[in-house]
Amino acid sequence: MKKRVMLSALSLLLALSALTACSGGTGTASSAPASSAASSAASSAADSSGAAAPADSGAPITVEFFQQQGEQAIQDGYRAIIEKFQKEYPNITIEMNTVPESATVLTNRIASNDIPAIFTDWPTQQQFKLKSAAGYVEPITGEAFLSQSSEDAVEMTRQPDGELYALPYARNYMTVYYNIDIFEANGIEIPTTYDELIQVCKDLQAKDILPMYFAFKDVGHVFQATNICFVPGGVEQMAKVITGEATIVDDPAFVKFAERMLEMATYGNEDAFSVNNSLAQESFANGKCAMLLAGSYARGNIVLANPNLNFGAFALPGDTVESTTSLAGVNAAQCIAATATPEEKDAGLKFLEFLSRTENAQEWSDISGEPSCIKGTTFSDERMSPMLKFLERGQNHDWMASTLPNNVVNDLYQVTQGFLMDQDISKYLKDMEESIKVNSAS
Amino acid sequence: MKRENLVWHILRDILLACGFILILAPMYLVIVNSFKSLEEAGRDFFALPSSLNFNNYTELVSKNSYWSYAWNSTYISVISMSLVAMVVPAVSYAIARNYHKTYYKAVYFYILIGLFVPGQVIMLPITKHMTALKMLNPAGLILLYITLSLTRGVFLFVNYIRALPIEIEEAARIDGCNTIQVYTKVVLFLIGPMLATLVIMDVLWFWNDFMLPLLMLSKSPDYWTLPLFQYNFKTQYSFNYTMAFTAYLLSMLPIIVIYCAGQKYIIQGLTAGAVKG
Amino acid sequence: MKKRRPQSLDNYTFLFFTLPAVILYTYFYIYSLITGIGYSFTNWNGIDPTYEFNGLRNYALLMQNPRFWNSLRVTLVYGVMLLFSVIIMSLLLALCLDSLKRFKTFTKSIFFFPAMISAVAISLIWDQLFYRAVPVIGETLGIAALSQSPLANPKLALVGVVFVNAWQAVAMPTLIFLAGLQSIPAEMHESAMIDGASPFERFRHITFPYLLPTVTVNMVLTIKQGITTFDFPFALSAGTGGPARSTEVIGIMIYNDAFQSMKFSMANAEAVILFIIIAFFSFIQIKVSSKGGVN
Repeated sequence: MKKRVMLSALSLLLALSALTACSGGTGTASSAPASSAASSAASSAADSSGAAAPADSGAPITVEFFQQQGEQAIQDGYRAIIEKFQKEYPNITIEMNTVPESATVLTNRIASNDIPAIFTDWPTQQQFKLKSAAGYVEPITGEAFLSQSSEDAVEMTRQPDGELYALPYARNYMTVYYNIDIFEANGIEIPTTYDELIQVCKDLQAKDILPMYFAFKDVGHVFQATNICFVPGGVEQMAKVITGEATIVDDPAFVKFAERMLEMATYGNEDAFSVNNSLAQESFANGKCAMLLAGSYARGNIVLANPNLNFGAFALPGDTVESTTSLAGVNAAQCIAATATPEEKDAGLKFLEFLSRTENAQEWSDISGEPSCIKGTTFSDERMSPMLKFLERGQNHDWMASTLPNNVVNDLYQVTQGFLMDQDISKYLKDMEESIKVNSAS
Repeated sequence: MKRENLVWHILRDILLACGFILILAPMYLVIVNSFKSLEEAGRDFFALPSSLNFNNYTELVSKNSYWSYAWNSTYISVISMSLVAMVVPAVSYAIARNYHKTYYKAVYFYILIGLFVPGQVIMLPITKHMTALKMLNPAGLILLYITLSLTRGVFLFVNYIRALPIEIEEAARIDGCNTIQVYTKVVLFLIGPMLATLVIMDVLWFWNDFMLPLLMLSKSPDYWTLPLFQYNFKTQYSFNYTMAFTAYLLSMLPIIVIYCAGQKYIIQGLTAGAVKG
Repeated sequence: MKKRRPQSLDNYTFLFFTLPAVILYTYFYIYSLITGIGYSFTNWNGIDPTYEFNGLRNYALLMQNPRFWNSLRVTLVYGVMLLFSVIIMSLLLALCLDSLKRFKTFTKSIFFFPAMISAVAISLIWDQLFYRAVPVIGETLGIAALSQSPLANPKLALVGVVFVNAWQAVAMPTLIFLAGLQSIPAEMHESAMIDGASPFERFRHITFPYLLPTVTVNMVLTIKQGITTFDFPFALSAGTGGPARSTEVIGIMIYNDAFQSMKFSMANAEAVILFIIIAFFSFIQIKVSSKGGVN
């Protein structure tokens, strides 16, 4: 009997260990396991063992490309370029890996010392600055292909230590989409000042057409776009609130911005608080309203929801054309992990260089529907030109997350939602200030 | 008395009818919209589909990757469940029959700690740990499922076994069985109903779980389970709900089949407890 | 007759039965838990290669953070609402199903349906439903509060989330109650009926006392589910805990702090506090209910 016990125990253990043995790596060279959180990424980069094959461009290598944007069109764009890349470099296999909740997964993997060799990130954001400062990203200053990207985009991504860590690949921006047919049928011209915009709304309302559609369930981007447009220097002022050098309570510019948000909301849909981005895009696509304040990402979704919609985009206007500031930034850019093996880094650099070629960037832009930062590309959708022309003026400001920490920005969204409901402006500014202070305390 | 019976029956039927509506209405909408394209669904969400358009379904199943996700979900659920069924009743039996001894009581409360711990506090440490062990793969996920299922399983089983009369086991011992034989020949039958309940609970958990596979299996799409795949239909700015609904329905099919097939035994198991009781 | 096995060998067997569980649990779970608690005493942001101990600083900051108190309140309200709705509904449902004479299996299957779908799927489905169906219902019934999706109204959003959570959560406790109901000896009901007791009296004097242990089990499991809830409020509020933080349960705050805001150690401190709260509630509950029941 005892023997039987021992035997079954042994077989169970064997079964379990067989499972473990099956785990094996995915083929990418892996660094030595980290023993504790305190082990620095730098030291593991030093002792990471390379692939068994000699470091020669002929040796086959598989590299992971952690691509954070889930939109179908963007994935298709990358897939097309990867296919072409494979033909030019047959020994390098790029495995694109797109997961949901990618920010969480990436954070997890960085903390576990398992950073993907190539990944996309948003290099202008504060959270990226933490990564580059901690030495997780490979500096690529001086690489030739960087000059392929437009200078202002590259400059936006320069990190506090002066180095460049990413290839800016696509722009994003906030814009006002408008239904061209509705505008033409009612003889309306694109407004270039805020007062003109309100006049357009009034005209549309008089004709029983819903002027705008809002997705206050996802109020964040509307908040950012209006704040940046109506309060010059507002984001920097909010950053100073953190250090106690400034206040926004009773600030007339902020009061004006709050008033304008409320004013625009009166021309929008009544159920805005139950509408999220996806539903707002769908409604605009189905002709329920004339205008939609949304991001560049919305274009592809609107087309999917209604391929026949004739729509364009213009910049959200401020007081005058000259004083209008648009929210525009760098969308995902590609980076290389500092913990990658030399062979992986080399493959990564080749891939980035390939991406930066004008004809590839053009193809990517056409498939993904994203405006490219690469010089020499033209955006395929002509109807977006009023917006794109405005962007060329250079009156842009990046997203708030490049100046304020992520969690401060996210909480401001919640505060804004509360404000849009109770419409108390002075309470709003006080709440904003308190929120900024509380969420930046450490 | 007869009137009160009638009142009860009416109340009961009303309650059940309301429940039916609450459950079937969403299911109707899910099914109906899975036969529409995103465009058509956007135009009219509630209407019956203009035609039995199987596009969404064919698009899903024609991709090879879909079957690998389904296979991953299947073998992970099956293996995890089998191992859980081996480990949990065993340790619960040991605890339940030795409750007076300190070691076993201590083990019981030790395992119950898991009842109080929110998932987020161990999320990052556990992934770090598994990465260090190079177990960010299905095998690691299975081990984690067994570990995490201990708390609820042991909680349910210990209470259940303690309430079982000990006479049958004692009779078996007198007949010369050792503990293992008592366990395999007697106890495993007696705990049938609870085991059925645990299997249902845990299989549903493993099959539909999202968070743990996200953290453990994100290294490569080859490892993905169905929930990971389904979540991709909702991106930051869009939600392809017609495809998502189709995916949910397909994912429910195996569960429904198993449930229908196994239902007789599950109900039998649950009522057998009453007969013996 | 075979000889009776020596007691010591049985003891080894029992011990062996506990070993796989204890080893797995300690090596994976407890180790991670202790590490996690340890992090709450540091300033680690989640990705830096180094960090320092800073004692109770995170906890002090949390005490002064109105957002934290708000999420505690939201979580507790959520837990209580879920507990009551699930226990009452599942008990009622089990009683109804038990007393059915025809279509029993079919009805049981229908009510088990919600348990078969994942929480995320259910949330996304109900989000669409709330958005599209509720205004229509509100209009027909003339209820102003239902003119838009409840998830848009900070006063109703939490109720909406609890509703969706309960929609799924009722299934399992019902099964457990059913099993409990079927363990009540039939003779007790029969003799009561002969004595002229109404169904309601039978419930009060026979059914409920027998069911008390089952109620405890279900209550403990549901409370834990309610207080540590994450999937439903997360999916229904698109990860924001909105509108205006009305659905920001602690689970969401922890998740966002850990992975979006790079405040990992703070997130762990929040989780530890949650842990203490759950332990406290469960302890009280088990103590109180261990006094009731029929043996």
